[in-house]
Amino acid sequence: MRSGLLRLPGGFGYRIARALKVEKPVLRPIAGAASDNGSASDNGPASAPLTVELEGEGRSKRLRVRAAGDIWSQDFRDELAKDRRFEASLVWRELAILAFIAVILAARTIAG
Amino acid sequence: MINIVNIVLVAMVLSGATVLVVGCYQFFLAGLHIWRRPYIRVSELYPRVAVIIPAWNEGAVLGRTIDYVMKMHYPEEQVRVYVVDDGSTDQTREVLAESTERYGGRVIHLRREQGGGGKADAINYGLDKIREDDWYEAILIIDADVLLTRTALRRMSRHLGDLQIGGVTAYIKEGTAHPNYVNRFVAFEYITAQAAARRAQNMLAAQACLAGGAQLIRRDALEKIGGYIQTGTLAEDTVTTFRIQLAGFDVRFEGNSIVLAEEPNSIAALWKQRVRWARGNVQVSRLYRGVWLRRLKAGPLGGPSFAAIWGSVVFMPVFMLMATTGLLTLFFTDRALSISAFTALWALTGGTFLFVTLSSLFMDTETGKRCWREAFFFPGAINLTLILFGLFGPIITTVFAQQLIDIGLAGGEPAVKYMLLFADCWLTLSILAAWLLKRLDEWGRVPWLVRPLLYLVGYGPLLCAFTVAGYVAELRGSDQVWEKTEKVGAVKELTT
Repeated sequence: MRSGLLRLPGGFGYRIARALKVEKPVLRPIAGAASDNGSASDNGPASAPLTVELEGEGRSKRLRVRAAGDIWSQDFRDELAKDRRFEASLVWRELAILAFIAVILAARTIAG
Repeated sequence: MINIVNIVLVAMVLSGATVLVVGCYQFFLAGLHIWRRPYIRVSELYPRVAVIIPAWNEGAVLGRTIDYVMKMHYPEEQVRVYVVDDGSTDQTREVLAESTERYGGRVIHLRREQGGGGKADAINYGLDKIREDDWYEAILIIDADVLLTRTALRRMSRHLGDLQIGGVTAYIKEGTAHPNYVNRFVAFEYITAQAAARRAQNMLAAQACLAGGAQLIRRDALEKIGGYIQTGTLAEDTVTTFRIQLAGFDVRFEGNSIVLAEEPNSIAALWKQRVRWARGNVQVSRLYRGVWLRRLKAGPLGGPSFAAIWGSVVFMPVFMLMATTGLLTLFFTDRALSISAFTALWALTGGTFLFVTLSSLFMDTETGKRCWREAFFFPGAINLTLILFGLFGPIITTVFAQQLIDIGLAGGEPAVKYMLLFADCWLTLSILAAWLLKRLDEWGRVPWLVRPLLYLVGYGPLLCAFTVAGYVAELRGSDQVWEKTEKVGAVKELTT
């Protein structure tokens, strides 16, 4: 079931799987790239344990693992946090605009 | 009984809103960009980057571009600049001599005596030389007139922490210090075509184009596509992007990596640049005809969403023509349905236009402050009137029925009939009007008239006219001349 959900586009399947607490397959950690989930272990020192999680992204499924030697500077973390905040804010901006347009269309309908 | 012909005609009419409906879809996706987890596999990486700058008579802008590359927040020893002087006859050589002296071995002047072969040729010449010293881990191809913000490269290079990423592109913004009306229209266009559309393409895991102004390509991705940029098309950046993705790599847009570019400041100059791009898109559509709607074969590039986005750009004039044909046919066969379809088309256009425009202005508020007027006049004053009619026409005609009859704008007056006919034809006529506007700008006798006419006709129809001209040039098999856009160094100084 989980593998089926992970085939859904845009990472939606992953979220549904997580919300439904669908069981994850057991995976061995491998060295790879960094995570941006902001957990303590991600931003911790080089000796921090690896975090492993299965990610479904479109056609490929890869391990989300932060290598032990991948230490980030404070500048880098701040910049990343700022960019992540901006990307997250886009959805709220669009929701506000949609609400505004909905008001206009409702007014048009009522007046008409 | 349902009349099938009428249904088809109404569908044709509504196809006129395709570009904006697809635009809306892209903005929805762009809003959800964070859900794609764009930073999930980033790393603090500073790979050895060979910056390639193809330059043909770019003496006015090149020195500053190199200075900005050197001022980036990126380890000095990890960047080398290779300028391919493609047979320049201006002061490019002197400018380069000065930069070479100032930055020592970090700026390398590659001179081709026989230049003018186009951008891809110049880049390939640079790639040949770069490979000789086997130093680079990634290449960054930039235009000679762009200014990279301090963090542009490191914001791009962090994505190379994911070995699956073959290329990263930045957000190219119109950066003229004192923008005129054409620059401001372009600035707004770039929010929709880059900041929004490319975020949407990140969501689809399929990018249409690593922007020619700033494309970072991982070495193994470059090697996997043969180590060269394909020549023979006018869209070498788009072809490279497709080849990298079809070779199994992902390509990423980094919207927070900002690069400023100088864009044309007249319709005539813009026409040259954009017809080249439009023709390049037609070439890419033909070259990759085996990719469209073939998801199993081509991955996300072959998905229906990507096809819709690509098709909405390449077939934009076709949709306009279809809408006009539908409206005109209904006008003569079923007047009441014609008016309903017309109102529905413009109401749909109005709703989507509002969403796309406001979302753009709030996506890049800094640019939005400079060009909000042009954002609202993007479709042109005539189209705006039709949008208002679509949104509020029924109310206006109900509330002011008698007044409209009194002034001859309602009822069975011939004038009303002609107005309706004109409005039905405008979607297609506006493309012709945009072409005439370009001719007027080239004529140069009445420069004061060009600006108000552009606001009247609209920048959207001008984009449509570029595409038509691109078709025509490709069908006629015109020479693929690389008509250089003149740059004078008008981009504003960056403080950050």
